[in-house]
Amino acid sequence: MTHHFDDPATCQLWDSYFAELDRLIVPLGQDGRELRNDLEQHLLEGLGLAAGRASTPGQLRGALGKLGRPIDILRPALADNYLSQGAQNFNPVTISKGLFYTLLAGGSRVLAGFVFAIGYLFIATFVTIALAKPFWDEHVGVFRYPDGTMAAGFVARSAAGEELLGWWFIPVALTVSALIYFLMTKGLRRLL
Amino acid sequence: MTRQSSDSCEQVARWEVQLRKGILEFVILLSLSRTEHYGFELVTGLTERAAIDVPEGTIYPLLLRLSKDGLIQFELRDGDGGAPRKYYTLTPKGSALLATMIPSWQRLAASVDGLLGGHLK
Repeated sequence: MTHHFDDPATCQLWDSYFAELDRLIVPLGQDGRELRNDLEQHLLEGLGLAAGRASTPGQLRGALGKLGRPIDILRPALADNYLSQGAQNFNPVTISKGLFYTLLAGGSRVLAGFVFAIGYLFIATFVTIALAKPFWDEHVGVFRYPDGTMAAGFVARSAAGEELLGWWFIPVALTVSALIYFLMTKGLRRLL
Repeated sequence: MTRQSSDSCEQVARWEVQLRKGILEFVILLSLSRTEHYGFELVTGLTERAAIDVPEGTIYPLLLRLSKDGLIQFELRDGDGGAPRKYYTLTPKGSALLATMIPSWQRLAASVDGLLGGHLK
């Protein structure tokens, strides 16, 4: 329990706020600890100007309200952290978390985050179609129709067309997806 | 009608928040270009004097990022009887970035003002 205040109820409120913050900063490592110190210092400075150790729960609640909820404060830092890790380890789960926090954090990077999110969804769809080939062989692939037009992916009117790649569709689609995934993830560094 | 007006108020509020978050980096660099500030002073100054109405805590991750990007730097110095304070200043890289941001902002503001003038006629 914190010893910053005389009133146990104020101490309890402080502890509850920082317990939530501590839970959220775990992925941030040293940066998280630095942010925690900054926030703690900010609150103490603000309360010190008013009542210091004698702060009441109401005063602390007011200060915490102005400071913001831990998740709202940490979203940009969590987004940075996950995107930075994802750009290095190419882990789709880490990248998804990074984009999720980027979109929720708002600000100037939302548009770029949205474009990347759509790009990754496109890749996921392409991979799903490739993996669907064994189940819907006659509908999945690259088709050429008698009039010269072509279609690729999951094609409903496939009977009229000639399938060009056969089972090669799976490795070709997966390779193209992997290549786009690699290039996009390299491009994530520009978003950071 | 009331529902419509409440929806549009919410929309404007959301837009304002996004707009403020978007220019926060510029406003921080601008504040630090004049004089050094410690965290609490900088944050309350931005939220009160500059009317950047965002939760105060959201500015600290941005300060950390600007610091990691080498645009600002801090020095720990004793506060008024309390724990040491972080005094932030602009680095040469931050000054150079700000010098290019200012004309961009002026162009943007002028073009929006131009459109606004036409809209109000």
